[in-house]
Amino acid sequence: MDMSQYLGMFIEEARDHIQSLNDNMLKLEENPEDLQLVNEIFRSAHTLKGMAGTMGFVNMQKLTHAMENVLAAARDGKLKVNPNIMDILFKTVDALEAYLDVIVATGTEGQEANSHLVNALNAILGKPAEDMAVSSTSKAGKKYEYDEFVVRAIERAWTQGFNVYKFDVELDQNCLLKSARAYLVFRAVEEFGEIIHSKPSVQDIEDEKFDFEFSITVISKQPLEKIRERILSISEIREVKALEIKSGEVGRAEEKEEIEEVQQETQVQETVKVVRQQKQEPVQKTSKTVRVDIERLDVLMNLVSELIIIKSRIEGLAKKYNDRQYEESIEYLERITTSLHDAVMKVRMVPVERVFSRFPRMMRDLARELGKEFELVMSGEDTEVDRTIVDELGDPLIHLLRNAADHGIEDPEERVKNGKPRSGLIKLSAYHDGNNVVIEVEDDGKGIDLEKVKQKAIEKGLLKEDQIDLSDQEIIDFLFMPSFSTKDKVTNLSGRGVGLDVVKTKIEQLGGMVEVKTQKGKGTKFIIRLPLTLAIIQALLVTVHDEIYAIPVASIREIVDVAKEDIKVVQKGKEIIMLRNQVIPIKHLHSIVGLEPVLDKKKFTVVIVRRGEKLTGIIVDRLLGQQDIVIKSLGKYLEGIRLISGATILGDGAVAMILDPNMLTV
Amino acid sequence: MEQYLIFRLADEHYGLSVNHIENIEKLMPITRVPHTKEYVKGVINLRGEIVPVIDLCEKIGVEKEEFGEETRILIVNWKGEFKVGLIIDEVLDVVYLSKEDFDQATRDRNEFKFSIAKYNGLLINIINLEDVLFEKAEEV
Repeated sequence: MDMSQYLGMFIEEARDHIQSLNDNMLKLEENPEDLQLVNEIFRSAHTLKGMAGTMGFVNMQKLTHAMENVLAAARDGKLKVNPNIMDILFKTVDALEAYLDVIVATGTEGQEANSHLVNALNAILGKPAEDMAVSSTSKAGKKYEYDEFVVRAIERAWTQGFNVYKFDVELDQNCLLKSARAYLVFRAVEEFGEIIHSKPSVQDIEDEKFDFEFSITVISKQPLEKIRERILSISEIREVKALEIKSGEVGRAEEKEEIEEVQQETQVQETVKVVRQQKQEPVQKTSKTVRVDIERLDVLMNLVSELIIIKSRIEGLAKKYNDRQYEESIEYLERITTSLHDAVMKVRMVPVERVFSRFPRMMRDLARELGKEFELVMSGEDTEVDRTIVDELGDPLIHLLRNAADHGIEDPEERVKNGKPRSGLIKLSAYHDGNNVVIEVEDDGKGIDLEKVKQKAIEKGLLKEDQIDLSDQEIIDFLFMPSFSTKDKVTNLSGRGVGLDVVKTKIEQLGGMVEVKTQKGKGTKFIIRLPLTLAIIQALLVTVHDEIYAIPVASIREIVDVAKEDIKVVQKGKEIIMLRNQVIPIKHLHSIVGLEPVLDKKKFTVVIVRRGEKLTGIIVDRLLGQQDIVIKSLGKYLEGIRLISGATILGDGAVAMILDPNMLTV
Repeated sequence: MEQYLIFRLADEHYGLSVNHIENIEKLMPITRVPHTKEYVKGVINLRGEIVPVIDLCEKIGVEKEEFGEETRILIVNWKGEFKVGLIIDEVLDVVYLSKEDFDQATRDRNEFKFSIAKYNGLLINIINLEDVLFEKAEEV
């Protein structure tokens, strides 16, 4: 049977299990006595083992099996978890993740057997290294292991003069309906004797939970060869290995019994769960979920975008007719498209937890690696953002968190000396702020040494020595320049600056921005502000000459009319206006987009845009109004035009450029 | 044998392998994109898709003609990565050219190198799409 169709499901589910292994192991590390957690971990490992086995990933199966044994011992109180054991378990989880990565890339688990880990796990239980082969899967071994019940049946059979045979049946690779084939084998064998054991279990065989092989143990008075031939006479059987089990070759497999017990246990729990779910169903409908391929959602999103474009087009046409019914229908259409848009957006929203969840583990490793002490506190994991954004957030956040750990947090001794608690604190939080989502990475470390940054900027020739009147913010901006590092020795983790320019570029690509607040000796805070969605935004359409531009409404503070005489020219020809006692620099959109400004007007329309706390006024010719626009990329050929964040198609089919507000501010 | 689209730029004949060409469109409104190269005329709305358009005459340095009735935009697809529209003066023909039709000689025009093919007594400059779409390193 072709397993590839299950591969996607396997990968998704294995990811979930590995994540929960990581999560629970981190918790266990803090509460080593918590048996509940050990149980959880055991269950994940056990399921993972079963899944890997079903998919034919033997190495992965062996590793999880060894892990499961250790966990079983811990659960039964035969073993106490200690940091050493935890380390090995964490490494095992890493190895499992590596398997999964290989599986994602190639569809096979690869060659890595991870025998050192299997040995290490076995060593915890005091098993010798060569015992690593899973006893129940060994076929060539002279000793046959069964559980107590089967062993007794076998012994009884011998005393009654029966023979005991074991048949390893291998089905043809092209065999469809494996379970039906197996059933035929069972029925054929039962003509001659009694099947007292099968591996996998009859239940699993019926559910097709086996590869192409299964083995059965039979008691019979008939000769071995006769039964073997009968099995081979069934079509699509590739090979039957028949063995007679002689007395003295049978052993009791204690460990296996245990696993069976666990299986029963989990089965019971599963039925309990099902029952409970059925009970809750009328109350809690939200628990019904479906996994959907993101590509299908993208298609849906595109269709909604098209609908919004055609809607604005029809709205434009409607103005020509003055028909009431026509207008009403259009209003109705407008309501439906808006709701549809909202609904599709919501489907695409996922909690930032998706990215956050891997950080506790990363920070734990980082603390060990750096020899520092700090705690990671996360909040707002349930804040939802568009899936496309969440997917891109991982890398920038890793940079910032590493940055905080490596450069922000001081060594424990230094902290104590400065009157701080020995252990540092790194906070990662997310929250909604209007149409934005804000993500903050904050540490209570030593803060950014602005003087040092300035020195470095001079050294690199980015700053002249006499330029001393720089604001703190302007100095901090140097950190975001490519290959700017304040660390004298760049570690393999990060050099402050080496990653920061990447962070900034990435966030700006996503239509967001990064701010830094720092206080010497108190700590540093990186604030990332991102739009909730990338695809459809509210924009203000403006004109300069005969060109139409869209400015995202989210970045507009207000719109004012300014008389010509109120525009003042300050140092080096910079134009400013005063708005409620605040100085606001202004720019002509004409010049920004490379056109001649119109200067001989009495009144100018100024759109005030903000970037963080900075305000800039943009002079435009005329306002066309506000509308939902669909953001379309300019494509790979035109990428890298910093001023333009995309294009949109207007109601009449014309194209308008969307201005990147981050580039508008001075 | 490969199929080529033969078209006119000013008073010269040019050819481009049809494998690259997705569509031939009539001239449509082009929206200027600020801060781009002179030969990038802007973008068009190709049935909901935003496609950049470049003026082939300007790009390869042929004398420019006013856009007219016969002006067309060849929509080319670069390896499935992006689409670009090439503005040309007139589409003439689609022909099969075999190796024998190609002359040994090549022709240089500015930084571009054209292969020369002979067809019905005409000399055709065969365009290498990669040269047209990407800036040469020394230009940067």
